[in-house]
Amino acid sequence: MARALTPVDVVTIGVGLTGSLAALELAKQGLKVVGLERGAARDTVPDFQSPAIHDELRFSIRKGMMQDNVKEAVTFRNSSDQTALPIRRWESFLPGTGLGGSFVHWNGQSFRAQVADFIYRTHILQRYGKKFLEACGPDLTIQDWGVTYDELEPYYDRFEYLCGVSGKSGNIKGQIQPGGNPFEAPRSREYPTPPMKEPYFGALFRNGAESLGYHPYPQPSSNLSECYTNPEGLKLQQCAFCGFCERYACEHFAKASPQTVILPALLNRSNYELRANCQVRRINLDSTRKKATGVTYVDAGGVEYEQPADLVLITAFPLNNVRVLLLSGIGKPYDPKTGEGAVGRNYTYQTTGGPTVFMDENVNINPFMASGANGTMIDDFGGDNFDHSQLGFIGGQYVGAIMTNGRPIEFHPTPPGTPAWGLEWKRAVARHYNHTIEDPAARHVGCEPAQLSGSRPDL
Amino acid sequence: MADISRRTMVKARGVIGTSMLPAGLALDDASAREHQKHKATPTKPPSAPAPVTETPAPSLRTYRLTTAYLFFNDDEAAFIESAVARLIPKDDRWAGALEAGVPNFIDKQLAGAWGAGERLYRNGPWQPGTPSQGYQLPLTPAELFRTALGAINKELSKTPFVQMSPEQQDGYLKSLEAGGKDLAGVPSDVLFAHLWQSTLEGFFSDPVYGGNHDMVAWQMIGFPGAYASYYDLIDQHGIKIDRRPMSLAEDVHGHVHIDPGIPARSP
Repeated sequence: MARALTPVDVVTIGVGLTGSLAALELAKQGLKVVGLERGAARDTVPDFQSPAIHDELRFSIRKGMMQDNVKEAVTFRNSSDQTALPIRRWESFLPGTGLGGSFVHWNGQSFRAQVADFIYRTHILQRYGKKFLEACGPDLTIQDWGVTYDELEPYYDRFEYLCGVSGKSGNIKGQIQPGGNPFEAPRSREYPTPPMKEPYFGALFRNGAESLGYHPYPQPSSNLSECYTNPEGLKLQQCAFCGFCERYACEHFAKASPQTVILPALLNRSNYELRANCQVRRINLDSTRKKATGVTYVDAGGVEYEQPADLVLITAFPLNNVRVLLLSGIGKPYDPKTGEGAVGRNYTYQTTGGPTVFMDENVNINPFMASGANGTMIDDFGGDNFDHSQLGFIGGQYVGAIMTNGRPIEFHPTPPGTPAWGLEWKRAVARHYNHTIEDPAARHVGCEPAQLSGSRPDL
Repeated sequence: MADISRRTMVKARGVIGTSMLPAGLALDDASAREHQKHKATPTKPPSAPAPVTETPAPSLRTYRLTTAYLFFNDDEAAFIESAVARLIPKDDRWAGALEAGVPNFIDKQLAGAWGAGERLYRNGPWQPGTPSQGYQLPLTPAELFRTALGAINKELSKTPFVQMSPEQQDGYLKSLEAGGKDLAGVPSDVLFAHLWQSTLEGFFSDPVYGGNHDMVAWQMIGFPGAYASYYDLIDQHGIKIDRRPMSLAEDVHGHVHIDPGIPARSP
């Protein structure tokens, strides 16, 4: 029998970026807010300190900051005709856990979407016509979002100033700015901090891109280029390019995370209460099943509680948000065969790929000097920034030299034709490790329908 | 009784060639008896130790390690040592996986939490799955290695791996890698993938875990290790970094403290 608790105004399921940010806004309005975080409480000091945090085996390979598969896993298949099987060890996507969620160990890559992305179906229809869209096939399930870029711009701005994002604007109120991305959606003002220093691989890419007539710009980064105090009065430090960014927490206070940009302003509020190691089992509904009355959760000892609330905010990782909706019997589950249902619909995922460039032995790339969001890129092939009418697909990709690390278990490039192991392999690794650039191209609005709101893995 | 300064595998080393350097053990009698307990098959009681017969090639720096195996029995350790020596061999410039202590790394991983199934989902359903569905065996890493190595050593009982020439050893490893061989329930390509991945990890991980001895792998590639601050260097494009690599477990005297038992969980 769940122990009933005193009602509160708001309960958040998860205290990552969304849970902490929403809680701060509502607590400022005077509401009583409870945050339920299934993982442990943790903070930059003492939990994220070096040198212990610079452990590639523990955090990159064994996925130390991720959800423990022993406790909770998901099943996975690529198509409905397969049997979904448990993901026994995380490989491609990596759900985090713990206070701050994934925003603790993210990369800091801080883009805005394009204007067209919010009205994507309308935009494609207007530019390329109905026949073109139909030719993309029935698997393409793109829709207009229902909110426009212009409506969101003030909030993009607020968020970037909360994080202190480092960058160079390419378009301020319609005026193209030199040094920035000329294809970006118009911003109301410049970034809060200047761009990060350009690493060697970024400079080499810039030279090449400019010579070909493209428009290189510095990647916008939430690993800050300089000390910064955000509107909450919280101070961030300058990124040291330590090369242990994605998968790791930042010991320098240089990466925007709930710990650095929100939580100190939230946790000391008398009307906010964090309950860590508390996992929500389900959202409770009234007899009409149209209104939430609160949540049921278990604490670290397995004791079940019922927390009544006027507002239940579902602010976990998107995958887990869908899961709690399904477990609570809220909404209609998405059926990929019929296309009906909204819960779990259009779960979208990013893939990257790209060439590896092997340089001469006298060119020291030093990939270990990097942040998660540095380097130089072009948007000339992104989104709908180029004419697709003869190409038979929609969307595109950024291209850039934005290496994030030289951690050797993960990064030991060898040229094609090198044996997979043995003496030749070893010699190739020794020759090429410090003289290689990997240039990813991220498909965030897919070349195939699979990447954007189409057929995708069933989870 | 004189100290045992080599394990019995030394006797086989002569046929492997001078490229093999020992991951030698310096054992006293008590340790030797203790070590006997880890053998899978009954053995003779400890006898008078073999005298030291091998000297390292004088032009090379040798990496003489003291390895107390906690997981591998003698036969398993012999295979692992010989196998990793082929996967990442020593050459005239740089140490290989054996000298770097990769067998020790793998041993400690398998003896510890990761080997026992840390972070591995081990409930059903059990099906082979598609390649993109990843690992689907019910075995922990420790169980996988024990099962597969037992099958390998049984198959090779007439010509043990340690007695093969390097070319023969490479050929055998390639046959494992290609798959199609069932190692008492473990597909050979799955065993090979685990062995290769563990070798990479043992070679390139922080030496706190018992591999990458003296940070030789990091020296080879020029990776500074756990060192964390490059703000003043990152815009000196192409600068050559010559600093000695740094371990996360290094004290002020540069001594690396080994602790293979760090759990793989969030701080």
